[in-house]
Amino acid sequence: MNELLSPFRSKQKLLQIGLCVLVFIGMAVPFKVMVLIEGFTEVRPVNAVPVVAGLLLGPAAAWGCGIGNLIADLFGTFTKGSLLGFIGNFLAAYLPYKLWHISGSKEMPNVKSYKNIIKYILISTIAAIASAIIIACGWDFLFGMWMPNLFWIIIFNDVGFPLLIGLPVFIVLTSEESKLKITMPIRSLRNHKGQGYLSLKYALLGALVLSELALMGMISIGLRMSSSLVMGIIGGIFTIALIGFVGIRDE
Amino acid sequence: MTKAESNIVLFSITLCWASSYIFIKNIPDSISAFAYVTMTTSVASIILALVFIKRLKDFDKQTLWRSLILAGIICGNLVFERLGIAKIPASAASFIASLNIVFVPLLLLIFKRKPSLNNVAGIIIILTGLIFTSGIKLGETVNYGVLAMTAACLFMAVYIIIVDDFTKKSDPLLLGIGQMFFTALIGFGLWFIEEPRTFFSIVYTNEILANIFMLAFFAKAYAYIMLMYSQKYASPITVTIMASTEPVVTMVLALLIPNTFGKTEVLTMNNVIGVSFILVGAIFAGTNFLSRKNRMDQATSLTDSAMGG
Repeated sequence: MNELLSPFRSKQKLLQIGLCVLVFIGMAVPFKVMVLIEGFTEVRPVNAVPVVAGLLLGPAAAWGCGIGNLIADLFGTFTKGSLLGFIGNFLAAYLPYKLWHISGSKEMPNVKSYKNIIKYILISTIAAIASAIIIACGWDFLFGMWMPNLFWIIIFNDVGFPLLIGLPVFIVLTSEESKLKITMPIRSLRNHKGQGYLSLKYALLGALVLSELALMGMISIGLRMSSSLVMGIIGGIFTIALIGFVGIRDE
Repeated sequence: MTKAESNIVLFSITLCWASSYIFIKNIPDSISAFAYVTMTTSVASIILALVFIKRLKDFDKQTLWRSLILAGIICGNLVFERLGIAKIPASAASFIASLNIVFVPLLLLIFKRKPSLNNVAGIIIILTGLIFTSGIKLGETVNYGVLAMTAACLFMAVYIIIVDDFTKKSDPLLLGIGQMFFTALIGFGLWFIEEPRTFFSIVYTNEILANIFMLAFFAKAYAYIMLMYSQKYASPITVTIMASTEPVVTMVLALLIPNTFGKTEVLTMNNVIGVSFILVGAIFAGTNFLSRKNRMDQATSLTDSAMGG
């Protein structure tokens, strides 16, 4: 939790939040004309931003993307569900950062090897599904509106654009030419590797991924969270795993 | 940047240019090509200047001069393309525009840079694929439009080769920003000659503005900056080979993107055959097994002759 709030204690990080907000708004607003579900979502190349920004700037990017999405919603799609959009985009940036550094290795995020390219793809996918569940199931659970299409469109936007646009930008920003200072977790800088924490983190990640897959399967066969007990229970496991993974202390 | 990284970046540029037809379609015909270039490159210049404001002070005379040359070539391509498209069928124009795949290696020969065996084989296969996808027919009416389109294509080939050289001498980012700025200036000059009222001659709607912004962002600002970076690490032939996969990307996009956002392409047998050729050609050109085999054969014959006496 300490790490999540850390951007608000540094002027440089606050500037990074501001930059992310501006980039997010600049990329999101023009595409409001490409509506996929009226009032809810559109074709969103902006969804390339959270993964890349999250990997490079960490928590500051998460806040920037969340706030940026909220402001962009003011240009035609602002509803009570915008809160879910804030959480979804916050996680779309913060989860990749947490996932990349899960092992505590000191390796800066990069895709210079095929292993890391696959890692980037997996991370984008896990974050995309989490974001889709939060927003689509959130609409169902909290506001009684179930739109399975919304779920699939979010996944399409959140996996497709980080790969097609985000990955090349990430390559340039992590190249020798780039002077960008990448944000690393404090614990890896201190070389702190508590075995207990590491196991807990992997257990939470396992629970997160399995519950995501289960929920995705259930949605694809037509179930909805507000009317299926089993789906509700798995949704609960997903929420606990997600909160645990995001909030787990680094030291 | 590794080879895989550079290919990913190049592919994303192809994707941007292939998908830009969706947005171009939403721009009315009354907006001329010069108006389109002026508006998109102006917006792109502003975006780039704002994002990289701290880097602008790094411009030097050489970089500005190189940027101007690149902008001049791009505008030359535009002028000839405009003259050509008006005079020949779209299929022929599309085919000639894709002849970079031949022109770039030929021009490189002037600099004594020979393509590999794989490159040559790949280029021939890709060319066959392009004949299928463009729908060009033998005996189709040709006129000076063909020459104009060929000139446009030559300008593009020269551009690719010069960028390869310039990005090794100047900062790719600054080159991209400078080129965008000068293209906007030259484009505006051409637009002024064509229609002196320039910006005031257009009836602006939200849709037009949104499309101009999207094209400026992806097809100009993003694509050209990425091209500059990747060309620092990739050869001109690799760049043209990746660009030649555009019909493949267009076909996939046409299948994925709903009607609302643009013309849905009809999937014909010719397209499928052409795209298959292009893919196989790109694999051929992107690998080096023929050259390796050739070297091994030569090595074997040398060993045999050495052993024989």
